[in-house]
Amino acid sequence: MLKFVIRRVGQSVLTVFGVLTAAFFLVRLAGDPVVLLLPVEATEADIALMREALGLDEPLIVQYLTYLRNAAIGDLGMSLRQQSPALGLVLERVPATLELALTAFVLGIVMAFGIGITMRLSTSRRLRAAILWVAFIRQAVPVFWFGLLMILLFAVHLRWLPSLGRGGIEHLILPALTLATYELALYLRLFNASLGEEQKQDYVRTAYAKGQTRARVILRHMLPNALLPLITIAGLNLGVLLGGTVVTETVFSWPGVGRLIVQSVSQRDYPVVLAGVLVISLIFVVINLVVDLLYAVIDPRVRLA
Amino acid sequence: MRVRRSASLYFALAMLFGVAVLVAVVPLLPVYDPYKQDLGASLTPPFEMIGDRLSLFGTDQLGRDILSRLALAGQVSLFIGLATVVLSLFIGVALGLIAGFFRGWPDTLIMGLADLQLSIPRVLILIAVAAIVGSTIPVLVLLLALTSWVAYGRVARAMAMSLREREFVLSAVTQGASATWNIRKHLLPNVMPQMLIVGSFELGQVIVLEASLSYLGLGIQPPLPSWGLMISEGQSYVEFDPWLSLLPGICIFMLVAGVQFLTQAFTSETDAEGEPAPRPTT
Repeated sequence: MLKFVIRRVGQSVLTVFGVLTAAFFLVRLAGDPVVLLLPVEATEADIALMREALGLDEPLIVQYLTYLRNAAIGDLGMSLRQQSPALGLVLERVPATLELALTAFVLGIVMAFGIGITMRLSTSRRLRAAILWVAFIRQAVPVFWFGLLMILLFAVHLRWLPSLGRGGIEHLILPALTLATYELALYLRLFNASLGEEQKQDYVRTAYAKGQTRARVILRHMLPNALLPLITIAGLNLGVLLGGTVVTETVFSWPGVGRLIVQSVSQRDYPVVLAGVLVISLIFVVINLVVDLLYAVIDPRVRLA
Repeated sequence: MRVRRSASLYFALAMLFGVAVLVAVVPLLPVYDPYKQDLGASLTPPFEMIGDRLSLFGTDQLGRDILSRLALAGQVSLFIGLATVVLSLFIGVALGLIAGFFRGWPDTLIMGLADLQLSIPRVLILIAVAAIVGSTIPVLVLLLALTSWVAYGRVARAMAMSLREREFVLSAVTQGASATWNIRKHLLPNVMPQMLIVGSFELGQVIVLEASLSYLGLGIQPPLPSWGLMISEGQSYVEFDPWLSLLPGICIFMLVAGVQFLTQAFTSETDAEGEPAPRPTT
């Protein structure tokens, strides 16, 4: 187990390192970083000053090492529009993003769990097929447009819920549902498939042969086995969820990291954009690490692979 | 490959027929003009007359004909989607076959790169790069392809690993066939059908990604229309003129659902009850 933990943590550190490196060379590849980093209206003197301040007269390898050292102590440069460190601006927004992403994540799992069980317990094939078709159709709708439909229905037409911003629980409902239903569609189909897979197993037949009730076979025997794939996919899919958060935040003017990134792009505030991307990647890497380690605890086969 | 004459097939064909009419027939109409502004007739609702002619889908905030703009945007989306799928299929198959056939350090290197890419949300890579490099159509295609080759690469690698142990490949190797010959003549034809299935799943994803980027202002740049961009422009008018953002959304849905359901009908991955088989998204 210790060997697995060390290898898995090492992998995560390597990923973060890779992301940092990619970000560094991306900015260099795109042209003169000074021109890129400064606002359009910068003068020649500004450019020369910045070049010196950033140490751009140094060899590339020295610049790269300085950049890595700074990143290691949490210095990702200053925002070009606001006189504060880029990382600080991003970190201020992290709670809002986590609030939205985690709510959607839990909501998606709980709904998938509830609806999935209901589907299996009910003997109506039509109900099951209908639910799966709705899930399939939901997956063909982009997150941002679904969000807009929710705004149109619940905020503009029915006037039940606010459409913009962050505040009480009523502000959270629409964006969280928008994200959660996308996840839900995927989870439901997977959950249903893995339950269907379990149904063919010998132990299920044995349980029925012993005269156990349908509900008991499904809940006590099949459910624990069918949950594992759901957990894996939910963990793997957190990336899609975090990516979806970026878009959803923009639709609902939710003041999270995603919206900050998009706003910073339009203001050409590149240090903030990169800091935002790095922070979300870091969150993602950490979550993935935790999911994998948890998974290894639940299923010993993973460690041996 | 067997086509099931199922409800999903007819649904898919209906959706795709709608999109085909939009992108292929609408540009032939005499009223087709996606750029002409007419501020006097701005925000005309659908099915209303502008002067003596009917405006089928209305006009946008600058008085441009929405039907024409939807058609041009559809051509752009389709082009980007198909070009990306072809390019990423090419990259993915090449890298996947190399990794799976040679194993060793090429495998470690290529799969390491794939794992690195999968460990960052795809939208974020696209946002970061598009923000810094800029987003013209060729750049978008390249970016989307470079972020979506992994899906093909992993499947191609897995298949190559099992194929290279098969007798027909082993016999070619013992007779002195080169690795490139083996990959081209023996592996490639065997992985292609599977790759086309992955490609059709990816097409929907790529189109949604492009629309999302355009919605965020990082994809197609105005005045060129894009469904995502039109939704974002329409969002400010959502209260009184909802059709501005509804119509392009319906177009995205028709194309993506059409592709999804068609793939569903072509692959026999449905279970006994005719339910659509699940697949994880990337």
